[in-house]
Amino acid sequence: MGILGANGSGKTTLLKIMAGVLRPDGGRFLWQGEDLLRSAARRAEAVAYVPQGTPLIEELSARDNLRLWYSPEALECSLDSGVLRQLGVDEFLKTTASRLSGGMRKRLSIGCALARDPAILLLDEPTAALDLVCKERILRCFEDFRQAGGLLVMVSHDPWELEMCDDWRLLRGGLLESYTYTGERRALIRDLEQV
Amino acid sequence: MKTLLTYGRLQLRRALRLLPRMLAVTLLLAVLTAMAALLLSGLRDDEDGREPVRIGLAGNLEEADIAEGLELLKSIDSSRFSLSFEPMDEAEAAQALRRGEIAGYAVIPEGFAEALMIGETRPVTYVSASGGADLGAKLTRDLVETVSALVLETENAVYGAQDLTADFVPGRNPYRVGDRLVVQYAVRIIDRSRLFHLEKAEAEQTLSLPAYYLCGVSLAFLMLWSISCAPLFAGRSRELGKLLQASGLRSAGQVLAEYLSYLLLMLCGLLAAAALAGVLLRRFGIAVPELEGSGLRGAASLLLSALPTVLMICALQFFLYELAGGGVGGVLLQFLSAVVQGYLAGCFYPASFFPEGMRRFGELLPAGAGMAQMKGALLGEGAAGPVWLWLAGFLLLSALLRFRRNRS
Repeated sequence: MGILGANGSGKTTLLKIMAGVLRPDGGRFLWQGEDLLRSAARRAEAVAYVPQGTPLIEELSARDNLRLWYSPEALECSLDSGVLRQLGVDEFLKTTASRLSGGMRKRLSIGCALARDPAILLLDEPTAALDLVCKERILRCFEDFRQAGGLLVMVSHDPWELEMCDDWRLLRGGLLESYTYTGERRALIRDLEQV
Repeated sequence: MKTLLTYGRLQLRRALRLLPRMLAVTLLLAVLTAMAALLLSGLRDDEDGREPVRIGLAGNLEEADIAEGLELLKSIDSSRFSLSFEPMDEAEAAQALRRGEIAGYAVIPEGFAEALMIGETRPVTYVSASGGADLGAKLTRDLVETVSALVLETENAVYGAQDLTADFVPGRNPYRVGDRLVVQYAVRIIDRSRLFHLEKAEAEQTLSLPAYYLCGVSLAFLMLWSISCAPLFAGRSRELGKLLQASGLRSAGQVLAEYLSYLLLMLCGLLAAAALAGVLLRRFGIAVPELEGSGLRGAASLLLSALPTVLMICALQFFLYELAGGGVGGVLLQFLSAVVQGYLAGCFYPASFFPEGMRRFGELLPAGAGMAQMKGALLGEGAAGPVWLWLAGFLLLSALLRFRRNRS
């Protein structure tokens, strides 16, 4: 699912609520018949969130940052042939987080989020400000996650980034409306401007 | 629990990476603190053990009695070790006072000694550098008033006795009586060592001055040292806190893990600082009577007994960094907190000199509670109750702040 919306429309707030970072005034987040807003343990198990910023411990290496989320065995396995290998995290394992480039930091953050093998991956502008090669690498990883049966909920301003989404939604006036992207940027801008 | 342990371990690793830099800052701060301690305790020794305060004497110094009296003061009187009288003219004295070379000067009026002989008093003018707001000037003023009253009343008594002898004791020479009284006055009253009784301030009645300043300087050092830990707090990721909260590691757990790693870092620094302090104390020959003879074991047990204060000060610093949110704001808060609290708690100046209200307020502050606990530790008394309360309060407040930040 791709979510579009003007600045300040509440896209990030919606993701934070779904991730359990913010507490909603009301409503439900149903997954397999269970309200994930009420069950923190189930939500922590099923949902992973990649925020706009990079949630890293800056003074520690990439490997140390991964250790916070992965068990030792799972970490080695993923670095060997799993998602971390796919994201290319093994290339900068020993580098301190503060010395990583924007693309590397984002790949590391996504790698951390995927540690628990979640069913739902919430992404807040995951490839903003990244170069095309890095973008492509990350989007390929998301595609694989989707192919494996995972649910991607992605907030973005970039239609190219949202192309992999089956379901486009426009957040307008606090409501999520179904949206069909025609491929015309001008029409999209017009729709975003309407409040 | 597993995440908490892993997070704690990683925070510890993060803290240890900053250890070399912090130890360097510790070294610098310890040297600065030691210098401050030396100035505070007035232990800048000259070869006689004390450096005398220089007082200028101007005006009429030509009279034989005054010149003789000055000579006696300089060569015989025991005050020569603490006061040095320097004859100079008034203009020279004024300049020397402005340059800070003398603490003050006295102007002796024309015919002072002659007037004394016939029972008249011509006031001596004493000029000091301060407008009278500081403690030194107040003490000087009080001393001048006391001595003036003493001289005047004694003169009255001597001349009164002379008159009484002349009127009611025929056959006795009233002037000889007067002379004898003057001699008694010189022997019994103008004996500098009996002019005043130095009463020790309240803080020092229970603790020696070096021990008091050891507590004060250690506490000030502890509070200021947190500034070197700013990178540890400035580099924290807010996003990480939010994610951890969503993943089940609650704010209280995050605060606890970060606090414990910070505490360990502080303890490492404290051990280094304590070792350095031991070397400096020995180098400058400063003896702490409460620790004499106890050796390394005594110092170690003192460090252990001061642990509650260390825990509390760390929690206070953690809370201040949490409150400020960033490194720069945190450093400013730490500095202000250390200076203001340190002053009110009597780290830089014995609190017993403060007005009652101010002193009581200082005792209520975290630093005041820490100071009381450290003094108690040196005396082998337990005074840690308020320290534990502050510790719990700061940790709770930090957890609440973190919770609020994670939810924003």
